[in-house]
Amino acid sequence: VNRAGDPKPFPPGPTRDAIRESIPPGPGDDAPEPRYLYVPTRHAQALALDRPLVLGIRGAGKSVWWSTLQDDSLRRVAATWFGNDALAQVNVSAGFGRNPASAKYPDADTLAKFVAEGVPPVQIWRAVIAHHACEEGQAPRNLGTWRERVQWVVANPEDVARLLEQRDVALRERGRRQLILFDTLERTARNWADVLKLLRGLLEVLLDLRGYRALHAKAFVRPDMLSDRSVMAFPEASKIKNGAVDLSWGREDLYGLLFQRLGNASHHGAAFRRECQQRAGGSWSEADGTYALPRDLRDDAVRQTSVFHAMAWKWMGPDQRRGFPYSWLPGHLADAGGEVSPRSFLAAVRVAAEETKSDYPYALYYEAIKKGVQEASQIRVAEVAEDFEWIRIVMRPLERLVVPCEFRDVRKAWQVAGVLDEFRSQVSPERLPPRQLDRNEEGLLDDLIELGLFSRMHDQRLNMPDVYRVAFGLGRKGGVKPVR
Amino acid sequence: MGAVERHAVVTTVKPVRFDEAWRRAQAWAHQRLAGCLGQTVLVRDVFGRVRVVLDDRGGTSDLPTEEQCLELAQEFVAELQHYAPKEARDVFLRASQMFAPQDLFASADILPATGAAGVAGLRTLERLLVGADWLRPPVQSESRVPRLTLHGIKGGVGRSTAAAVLAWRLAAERGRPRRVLVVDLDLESPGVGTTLLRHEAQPDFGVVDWLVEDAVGQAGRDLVDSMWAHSELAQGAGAIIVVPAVGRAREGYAFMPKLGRAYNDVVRRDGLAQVPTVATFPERVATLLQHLEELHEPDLVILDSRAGLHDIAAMAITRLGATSLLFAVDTPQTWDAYRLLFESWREHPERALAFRERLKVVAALTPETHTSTYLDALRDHAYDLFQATLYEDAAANDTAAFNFDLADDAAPHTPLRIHWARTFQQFDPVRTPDALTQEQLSSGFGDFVSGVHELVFGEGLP
Repeated sequence: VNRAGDPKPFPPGPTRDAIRESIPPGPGDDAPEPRYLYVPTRHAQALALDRPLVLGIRGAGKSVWWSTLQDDSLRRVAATWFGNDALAQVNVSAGFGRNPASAKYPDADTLAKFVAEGVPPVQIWRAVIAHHACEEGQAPRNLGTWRERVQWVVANPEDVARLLEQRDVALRERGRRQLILFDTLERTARNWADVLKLLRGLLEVLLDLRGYRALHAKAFVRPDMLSDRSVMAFPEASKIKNGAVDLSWGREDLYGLLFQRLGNASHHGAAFRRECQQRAGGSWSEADGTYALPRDLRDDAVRQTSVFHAMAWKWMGPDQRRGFPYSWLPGHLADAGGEVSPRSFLAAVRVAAEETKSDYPYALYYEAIKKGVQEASQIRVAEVAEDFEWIRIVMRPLERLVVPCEFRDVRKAWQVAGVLDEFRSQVSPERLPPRQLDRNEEGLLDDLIELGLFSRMHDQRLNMPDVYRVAFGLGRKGGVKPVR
Repeated sequence: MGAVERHAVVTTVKPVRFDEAWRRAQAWAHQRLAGCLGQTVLVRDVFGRVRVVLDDRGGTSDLPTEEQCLELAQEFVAELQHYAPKEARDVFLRASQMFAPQDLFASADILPATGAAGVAGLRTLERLLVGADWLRPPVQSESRVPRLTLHGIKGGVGRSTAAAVLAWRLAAERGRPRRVLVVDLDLESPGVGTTLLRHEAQPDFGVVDWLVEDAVGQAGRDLVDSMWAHSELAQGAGAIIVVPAVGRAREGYAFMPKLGRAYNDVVRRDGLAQVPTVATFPERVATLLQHLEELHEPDLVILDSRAGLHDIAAMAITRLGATSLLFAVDTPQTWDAYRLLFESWREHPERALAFRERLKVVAALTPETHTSTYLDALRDHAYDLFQATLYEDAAANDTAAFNFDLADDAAPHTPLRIHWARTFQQFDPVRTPDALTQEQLSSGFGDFVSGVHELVFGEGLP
């Protein structure tokens, strides 16, 4: 490397140090420090109070949003950045989330009991909304249990309507807003039928709340959960779905996130910001100790390329034939739907920095980037398996399979391993099984396709993107033995 | 009675066809010549008949005796029937009986039998009238100036139009206008020269003239100087230098008699050494390109290649160190035709090493409707082709294998896209420069031009 026409490298040592400082090893953090918070331009819509539904795959940042919006200082950072003044005047509370908090919402067992008793999910969520919307000492908040609150809501529909109206007016008079957040909705119950019923009920309530001007709710949902037809089978459901904000991470968004981190590294951030400024222009504005990435480095692929290639050289091999680092890295972390999780992206960069020899003239060596992608692949699997424990069970028998392959090869591997029996013998599973398990192996496959692990080719053969293939130990089929 | 029986046998025996004979010859050698495979070359002549050549130059201890050979030869004839020599005594040939054994054993066309029916250790030699270039090593593995071959297995896919647009855009590159040399190697169906030059601007001579003059030793600088012209499409600092296949049509200028002599190999007697050397057609074209490159110092050479499986295409793709764009429309005919070609690379993957990383599919006539479905199907079909014939088997953690994910943008099978529009049918930028707007050109050829720019210059268009 280092020929005429090569990108002038950022000082490799300090750049690697900035990476180590600002990206923790391993799976990383759910609630980043304010200086590391990065909101892609398109995601900013998720902040809007009139967008009640936010969709994102596992790892897209739903929980980051959920906790960011509840944290006063993080919310201020986001509000300043996007000039969203309304955001500073909001009371935020949680209507459902990962951790049990019975003062704020009923837990999964309580919800299951209500559903089993035939309480309509709409009433359950109305009770949660009413609870958050009323004053201390007022019904239903003053009632001792969720059972009583739900019963009260069922018995007093008029009171509930008046309560919400009065709250809306009061908020408006004080120039304030209220926002109630719902996350990890796959954990509302222990079987899919109940989860989907509860989700549908919540979406109906979200639709009703659109009539209020100061009282808002927002649900963070995985797109696969909306795939079941029953969820959207209520009048005007499309109004909710069409207005959904998509939390997918495009290429520019991922690099924006990376640069935001590096520019805010405690010791080597300043050097990184200086190099960026010299290379790509733009200035980093500072507020409360956080440096905001210049506009051009947020959305301009050409400028981002010039920065990243100053870190990683311009090619993914000795010549251009294996592609360009800027597009190669996200391309090889994408699932079958083209989605990349920011966590795996950052992890790949971190590993690449660790794996690059200290005397290499750029911060990242292309072989080290490949290594980074392999390790990030493991991190992505761990991330997905947190939401979908069953994935490890269905993928284990597919190890050493080669893709593209026929569905019958996959089915056979599952049958030999007794995968279906394994699921069906679990009497009361801790976690949700595959959603379409009742359709046997075809259902399993459709679940995997929906989650982006497999894609179907034009002739129905199955392919698996590298990000999953590598971690699950599948090979890639070739017509010839290696010639080297 | 006996005669009737024999007649019955003859009519029920199925003839051994061409492909089957080759498989049988290899299997037979594997079984019957197991002890001396390393000294054995199966030679298939221009009619497809197979002979067994034994290399006895290093000793005969492992080889069958003359007597054994005669017996084996009869077996061989029974096995291969019409694809064995007529006489059993002609089946075997020993190096010591040959006039110049080194010509055969040192031939660049000798290949290990590595394919599907292949036998480890055995070597084969194909005597072909045409088509041998597809498996020959490059004349030049790397040229100083990047070369780009445009090839379509089927004609009529807008290849010459794409060549012209590409030259035009690169010559007008923002901040760095390029010098582009366009050479029309499609001798039997010249095109790109006419697109880029008005009739009166066309040079007196073309590639075909150089080939006949070179054969008699007078393809000097003055000829090279009268076979190119600047296209008026290039403005400012950029340049499009066009070398057409033929000279300007005019009274007294013949073409067909030259074409019929263009593909000759020629004997050269130059330099101090008195030993004559043979310059093959591809070597001669490589020499012409070198002359042109030295004269014009271009940033890129675009070679408009003959369509199909013609030797010109073979040379331009595999033997000139070029990056090759394989134009495709998503039809079974396209993929079947490419498959015929790629199969021979699958049989001899080591011969594809020199160029397999330099191939790139182009979606040539991408339709205006159902575009993404069309492109997905085309990509899948291209993937099938490459995966079955050129990509290597790769285990999960193998990052070095020549193998690519279906969705990998940098993969040879992932197409560059040319979006076809009816207006491009009238593409004639020199004579009707305003027929197309810049927007139309960009939407049609934008992805193609920027993709090619990345491939040949290693960076995106500014």
